Amino acid sequence: MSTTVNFTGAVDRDLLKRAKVIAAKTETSINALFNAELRYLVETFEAAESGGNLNYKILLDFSLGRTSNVEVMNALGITSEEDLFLLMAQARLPMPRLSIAETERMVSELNALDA
Amino acid sequence: MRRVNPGKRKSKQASVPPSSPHTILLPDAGSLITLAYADSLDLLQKPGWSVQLVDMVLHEVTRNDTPTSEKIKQWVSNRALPILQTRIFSHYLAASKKPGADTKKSNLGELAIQECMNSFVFVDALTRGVFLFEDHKIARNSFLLPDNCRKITTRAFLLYLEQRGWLTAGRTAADMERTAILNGRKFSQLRFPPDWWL
Repeated sequence: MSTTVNFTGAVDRDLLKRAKVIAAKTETSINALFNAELRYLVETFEAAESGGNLNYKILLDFSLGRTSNVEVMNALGITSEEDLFLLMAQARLPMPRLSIAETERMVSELNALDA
Repeated sequence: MRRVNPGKRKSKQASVPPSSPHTILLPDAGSLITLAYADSLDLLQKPGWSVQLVDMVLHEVTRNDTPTSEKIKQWVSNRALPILQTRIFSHYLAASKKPGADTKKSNLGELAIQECMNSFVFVDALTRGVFLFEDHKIARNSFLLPDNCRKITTRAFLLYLEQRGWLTAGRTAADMERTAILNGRKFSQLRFPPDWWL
């Protein structure tokens, strides 16, 4: 059995709220969900890497906002935004996200248009 | 930038948006794809703004046969949405007709959108352009934005609709995104078998 360690991290407030709902519905803990998802990511990444396939790493870099859609599409040899969306969905990686504050600023801009 | 209705591409002279106070909503490819996978393209019309499509963007989302391409094509046609013609798209068409052409495709949608944004400089101050993108386009692309234009993410737009009570009862912006991802994942497994990255 592997040793567990504690660590400190930060998480999106809304995401944590949703995770708590899932944990309650599935009668498990946030900790167990976090471990399962982290294990999936690590094992998928390592399996791809050991096979010399960089596709998953390329998608992960995009998900983390390190590369642009054009860079990742060129690297993967795809020519449509839809294929990129589909690959991200299948890889279970979230599309890059702006901060909540930035998103809320945009919502305010839209509300101001109606004022 | 020229504005035409579908099926009447050659009949109407180019024009900048009319001079009455109003808002024009121009979705990018990513926003159209997300909403199409969520079966929610009509949400774009909820605020009552004029929804218009950029020709290069429309071409990008309809040129391949995918679950959303026909859906988007039909939606644009059924709603008789105006299509804005750009020089980028006409140059692209001309270049792709040359024998043996290996025409550049990436980034052309963004360039066409920038061309449309530029044209807003010449419309009256009461006409506003709302350009809709997925988050990553706004995070990394440096569009030059006239004062009467706004760059908004699909997520922010959906939250705006949610706050206004314009989403189907009981549904949230997050629900819409989830539906898109789930529907996308179903098709993706056919298009890209799981061993694609292993």
